[in-house]
Amino acid sequence: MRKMILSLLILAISISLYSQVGINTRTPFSKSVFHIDAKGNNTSEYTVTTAQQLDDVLIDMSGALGLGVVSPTAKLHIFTTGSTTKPIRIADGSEGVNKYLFSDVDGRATWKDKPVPNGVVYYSRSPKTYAKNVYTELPAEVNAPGYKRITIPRAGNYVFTLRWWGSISGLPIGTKLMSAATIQLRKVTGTFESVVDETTNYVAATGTNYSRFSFTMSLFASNLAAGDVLYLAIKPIDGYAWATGLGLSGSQLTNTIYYPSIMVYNI
Amino acid sequence: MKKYIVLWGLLFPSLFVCFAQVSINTQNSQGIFYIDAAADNTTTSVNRFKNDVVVDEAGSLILGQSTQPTVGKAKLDITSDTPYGAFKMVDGGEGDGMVLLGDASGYAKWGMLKGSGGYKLRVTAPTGAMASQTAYTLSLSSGLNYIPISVAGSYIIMIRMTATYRVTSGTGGRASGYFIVYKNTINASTLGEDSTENYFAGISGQKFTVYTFLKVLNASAGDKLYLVIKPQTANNQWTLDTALTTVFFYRV
Repeated sequence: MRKMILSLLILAISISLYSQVGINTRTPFSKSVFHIDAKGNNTSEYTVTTAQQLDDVLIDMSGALGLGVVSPTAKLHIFTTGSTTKPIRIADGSEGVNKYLFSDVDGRATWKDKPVPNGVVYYSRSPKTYAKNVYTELPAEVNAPGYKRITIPRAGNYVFTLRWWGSISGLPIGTKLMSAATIQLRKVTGTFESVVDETTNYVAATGTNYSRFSFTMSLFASNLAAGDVLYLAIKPIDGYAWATGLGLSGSQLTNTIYYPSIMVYNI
Repeated sequence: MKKYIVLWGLLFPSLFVCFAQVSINTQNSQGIFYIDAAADNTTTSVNRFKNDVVVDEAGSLILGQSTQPTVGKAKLDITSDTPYGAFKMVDGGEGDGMVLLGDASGYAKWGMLKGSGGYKLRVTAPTGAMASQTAYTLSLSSGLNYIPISVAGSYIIMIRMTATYRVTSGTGGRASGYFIVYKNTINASTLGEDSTENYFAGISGQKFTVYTFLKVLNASAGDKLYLVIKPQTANNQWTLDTALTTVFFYRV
């Protein structure tokens, strides 16, 4: 008898069921493993009408969850047609009118505004030296008044295209060189900076009076939030310093076409 | 011994039917089926109801509410304190900026809208020397040698490639290569959906960079886009720097 009580006590603490479970129903659906009939209105374990299913929660033998449907055809199958109940509500603080459900890299979801293509070109027009083997910030002077860095207007994934125009400083006349620089896209969060994307660009240059050369290259940042602040930094690694403004005079000195510019747009 | 058999027979029937409300880990329940996952509803914790899972009397499933859940506002009603904390769906199409899209039957998938996202892939192969006038299909960090199309539309492929240039004969110094996108089938006798030839000035044994774009119009769901690079000029051999060779893919 003592053994019996012990046995019952153990079972009272933790009950495992190796069987089909039906809750609030005497006729759990034949193909279910777990079936809640919230209104208790099902009458057969084989035939369930659409109206009878609307209040049912069910897990089938493949582990699919049906809400309002007893034969789910997807891992989560929700059926509310003909009912006043809406299918899904996700309240995580981001919800709002006309929002879209967005994924992150892991497939987790949140609400965001409808994607709106937008783009800005940040120009510069001040001579600057880019010392060799050191990262120097590329200015974004025009279109960012009072603030030289790039501020993201809307959440999204963005391309940052650098359109370089400048000189290799001190390259001997006639020397052919594969100019090279590593470009970093950096995100600023308070006093912390992270490198979001990085690449190195190689392009042929030849020593002339001002050894001018140009190239175009893009960097990419995903999942930026509105208000995020970023900038591009460039580090010449071809043995020479780079410079902008060399040999310019008069109105050329402030003409944005003779300086690097940065195009920023969401994709 | 007979008693034990009777007991076990009662506890392990093939069918367990309960024509009543069921609660787990709590005695103070609501609805038809109530789980207090952390068994903390009798405490004063402000978070005590957030671990509760409830099926209400209309069959709605309620998760994560901060007050005692009674009636769901939708068939599946999920509340979370943090964005990305409520719902997760992994179908292979997930990614930063992907959007939940539906088909005619209501099946959902993650897909790309114009302006919604796009993504970056590293090129992982070919890693060996690429011979002149030979086509090489790129392998990508996704583990595939193509880009799968999940949503019908038009797409841009942006390529930034750095490779070491070698002149295998003659003086060289100037060379070109083809960049081609094929849809579903690589037919080297064609120029695919879109193609460019890029010339560059190079120094044998040193690196050079190509930055170019390809477009695919009106791709269908299920299409596969193959990217092919072919050093074109004779006696012109490339070896990719895979750390600096990247593909961006987005919808337009």
